[in-house]
Amino acid sequence: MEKMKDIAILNLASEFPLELKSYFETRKVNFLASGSSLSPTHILVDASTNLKEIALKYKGALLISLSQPVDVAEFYKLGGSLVVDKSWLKNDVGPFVLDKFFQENGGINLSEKFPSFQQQGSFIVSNPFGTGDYLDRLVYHAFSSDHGAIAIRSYFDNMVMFLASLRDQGKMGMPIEVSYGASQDIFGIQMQFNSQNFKVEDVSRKLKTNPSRKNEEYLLYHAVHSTGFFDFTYLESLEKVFITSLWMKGERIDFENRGYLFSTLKSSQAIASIPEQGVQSFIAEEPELIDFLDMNVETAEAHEDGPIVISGGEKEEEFSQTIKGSTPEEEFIQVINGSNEKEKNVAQVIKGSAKEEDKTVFKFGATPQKEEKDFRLSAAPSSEKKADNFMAIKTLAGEPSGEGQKSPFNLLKPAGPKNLDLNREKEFLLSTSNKKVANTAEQAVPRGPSENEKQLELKVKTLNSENDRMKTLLKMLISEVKIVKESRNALAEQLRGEVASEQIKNLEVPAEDKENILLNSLKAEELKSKRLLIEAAQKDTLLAQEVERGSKQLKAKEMILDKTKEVFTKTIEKKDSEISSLRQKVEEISKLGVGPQLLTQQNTIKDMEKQNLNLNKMLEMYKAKVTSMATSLQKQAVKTDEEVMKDDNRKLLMINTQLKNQLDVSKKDIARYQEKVSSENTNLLTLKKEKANLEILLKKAILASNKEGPALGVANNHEQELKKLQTHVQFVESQHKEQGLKIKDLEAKLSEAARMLKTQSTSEDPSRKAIQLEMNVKKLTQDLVESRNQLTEMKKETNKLRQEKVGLQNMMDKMKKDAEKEKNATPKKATGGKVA
Amino acid sequence: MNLKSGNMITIAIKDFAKKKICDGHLFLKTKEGRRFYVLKPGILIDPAFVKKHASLNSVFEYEPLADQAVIQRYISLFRELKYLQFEKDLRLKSGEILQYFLSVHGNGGHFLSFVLACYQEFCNIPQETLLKMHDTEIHYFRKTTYSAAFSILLGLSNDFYHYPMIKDFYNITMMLDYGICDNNYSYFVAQACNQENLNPGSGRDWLVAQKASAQELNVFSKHPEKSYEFIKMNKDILSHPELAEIVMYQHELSAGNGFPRGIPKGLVSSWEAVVLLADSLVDIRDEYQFETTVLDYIHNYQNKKLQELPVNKAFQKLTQALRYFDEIKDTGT
Repeated sequence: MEKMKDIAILNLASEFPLELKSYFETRKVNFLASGSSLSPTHILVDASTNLKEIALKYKGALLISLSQPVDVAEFYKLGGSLVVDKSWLKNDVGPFVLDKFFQENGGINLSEKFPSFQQQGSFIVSNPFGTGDYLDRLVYHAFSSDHGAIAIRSYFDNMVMFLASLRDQGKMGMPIEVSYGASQDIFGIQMQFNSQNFKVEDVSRKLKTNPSRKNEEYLLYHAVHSTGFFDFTYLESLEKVFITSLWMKGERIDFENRGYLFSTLKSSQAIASIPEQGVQSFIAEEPELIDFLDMNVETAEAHEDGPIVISGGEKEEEFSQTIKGSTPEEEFIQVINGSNEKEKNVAQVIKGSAKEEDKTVFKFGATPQKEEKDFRLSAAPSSEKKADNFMAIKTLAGEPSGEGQKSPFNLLKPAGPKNLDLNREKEFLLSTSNKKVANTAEQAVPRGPSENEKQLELKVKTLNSENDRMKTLLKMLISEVKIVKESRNALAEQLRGEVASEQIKNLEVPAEDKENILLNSLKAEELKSKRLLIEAAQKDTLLAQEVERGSKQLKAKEMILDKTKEVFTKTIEKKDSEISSLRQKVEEISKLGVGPQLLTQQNTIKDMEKQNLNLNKMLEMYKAKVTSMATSLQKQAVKTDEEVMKDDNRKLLMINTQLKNQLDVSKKDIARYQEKVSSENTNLLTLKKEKANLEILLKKAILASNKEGPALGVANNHEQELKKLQTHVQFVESQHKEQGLKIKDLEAKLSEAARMLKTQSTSEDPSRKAIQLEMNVKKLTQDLVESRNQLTEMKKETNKLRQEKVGLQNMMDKMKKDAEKEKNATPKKATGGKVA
Repeated sequence: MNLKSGNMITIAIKDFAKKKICDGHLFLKTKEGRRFYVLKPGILIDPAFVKKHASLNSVFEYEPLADQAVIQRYISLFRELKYLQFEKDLRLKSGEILQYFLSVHGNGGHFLSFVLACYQEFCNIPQETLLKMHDTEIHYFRKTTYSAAFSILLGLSNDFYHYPMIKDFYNITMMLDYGICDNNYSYFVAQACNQENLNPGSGRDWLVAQKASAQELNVFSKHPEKSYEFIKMNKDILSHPELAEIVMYQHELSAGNGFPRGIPKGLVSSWEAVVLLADSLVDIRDEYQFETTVLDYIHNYQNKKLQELPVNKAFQKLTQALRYFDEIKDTGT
């Protein structure tokens, strides 16, 4: 309310509604005089106001139009924000809307200001193209609370599509939360959704006074023009949009009284919303829908006799009408796409009027013993006693008697709607007739018309009779109307007669008084007659309505009958044709006679015998083949063992020969190595000899050098080296010996292996032989490799020894040369001394 | 082949290779027969862990909690929902899912089955982000998966039947507290989140009372914005990117004194309430008592926050739907 203190209103509208005045007075809003120096925050305008001029004069002031502006988009462009007609101010919505507008936040809980407003449902639209079921239910609620369901449907469809177009532009985000509710006079829908990069102008500028060709504008135009009050609020801080649309009951939604509110709220206070009256989960509370085509029916009132009612169910599968029997025969009901549930809520009583003496009751779907009223036709207003205002209908000609279930048309079947549905019955009949046809084909015996056909015929007959009955009903209604008219006229005449007699009686009374009395009585009588006339007229209209309704129903029944007739006739025709074709076949078969049949049978038997013979032959052939195959297989199996053995032997022999070859090769190698070893030994021996010679020479040289002095140290060194060499040579010799022994071993092994080969090849198993051979060959090869390695080592050592030998020889040569030089030098010295 | 011994089964690690989240208690068994608790249910299985133990031929003892048949049934129901178009069919299928939920978890079925089915079907968060969440704290990660599963349940019972929409709810709920996956994340920040859950509006005061550092306070108070920015940056996570706004409502209160915006109850939409409630239903804890009694947990969830948080309607719709389908189940209609 604090915000209201800052509001200053300037009224420029020609008319100032009292409701608005009282609203401003209660909120203590400041009003400015037309010549006031203060600038107004809000200006009240109407159609007569020059908006452009005012917008120029009072910049920044918000315009409130009390009548429909010529161009809504232009109005908002010039600073307009609210259009509210006085019709909206007469109810609770007006103050609520004004509060929401002036306080700029809503901040008002609808339940406080609008206590009668109750939420009827809510749902989430995640896919704007899948709203059919939701919309049906929304419209159902609107319709059930007597609001303009067509306008609401049109609004919702167009608005959701408009929002979908906004989504394409990236200005609107899914989902849309829709909640709806109603008070006594007002139905409201609120939609809320997230929005991005949005401005109220995106919507307001698309509001056109005439339908546009542009898709969005067209959709918005139709949505807005389907509502009574259109409130578009954008919450800038949270990027959310709230669209509230209201419809007023009784008030015509037209160009004159439509209200608009476009606002952008910067604060984030709670916005007005439809209060939550309990929680409505769509998944848990799936509302049941009623077919509103049946909504013209009046509520059936319970009667002990159980009147025939035409009722509509709420469940989808029960969108149908039932014509119930009286209470004791509740089981015997004919359903014409009808339901047997909730008939108390929505039902139609075919009313009429009847006098007690006319009360003739005819059974329809009931046992003949019970004389109870099935149909009650009443022409009297509901206030009158029912017992005096009903009329029973005579039964049909050839009505079903006795046990209801025996009726071929299931008229007397239990009241299960599935059993009694005509279409299903039709299907059932068709299926049974099909079965019958099949049976006839099997039996191949022509018969008369089947039971189903009879049933069909009977059904058609009864349908025709029902049609006649409806026609008689209509006639009766018309006659009733006539009776009412006649009674009315009779009453009028009676009244006139009474008045006249009274006038005659009153002739004896004094003239003035009599005149007065007469005048009064005349007036009273006139009034009475007028009343009667009015009542009669009302009755006329009621009757006319009922007659119309009856005729409509009759037409519908006739239509159904015609259709069913057509269907039945078609099916009968089909069945007839099938039966005739079957009959023809049977006749053809019968014409063929017994003789030719036998011939043909004999021929076929012969053919069969031939085939049998052929087959037997084939069998024998195959048997022989199979036996030969089996023997060959057995032979193969025997042969294979031998072959395998042979193969194994071959393989072993191969291996044996290979191994022998390898042995030969290895023997040759061994012989070669032996030769080499012997040559090496000879070399060694020569070396030894040379060495011994050298040693002798060395000793000599040492002896000589001992005599000469300085060559002594060198000789010692040479001796040491020689000792080393000798030990080395001894080591090499021992190795040689070892090698020789190894070679001998190898030779022995080889000879053993050769022997073994010879012996084993004849005596032992080829597999064992092979294994042993392999083992021996492996050992031999290992030994060979070892001996080769040793030979190479020996070669290396002999090379070293040679080198050493050469080195020693060189040394020896040097030493010899030195010794000779020294020898030569000593006599020269001696001679020289002598000279000195 | 698994050798059963009571609830425990001996298992080779290769059987874990295909699993992303551990669906039971896993113990490593030594040669001496000693058991080490290695993995707890609801946490991510590190592929390196599997690789390592596969090479070592480690023997594990395993107590499974989730029922694979139930998981597969849930997944097939979600897939069926995915390919439906008309709102009535969608509503009926959503009802079927809720009915199945009641039939499984009304008889003591472990909630982890539903959690894992939802994770397998709806999780659309990049692997590295999930790992970051998991590395921040395993209990926090587990809480997000449980909350996200509740968001599916709440979405369906609050008349959101479209697959992409509820998938978005799942991923938003998972990412709601991603902002706290910060270097300055600490035990105190996690506890402040729990305090905020237990007593709405008290998280920051609790942190101050615990003498939390300025960085910790900053992590706590700024995490909705950080999460929001992350989701805005990674547009592929959501089918409806505009739903990212929901993240900004996670710590709002009915009175309009929550953070970061201070949005009052009247401005909180049903989709925001669904995620908000799903988040508040689960705390960051090392274990949950409600796992086998989830229906009782939901029905008895009448603490202070339902009044203080703008989620009352969403909660009532959930319980209403569960009761409705329970009655249907009982009456057999």
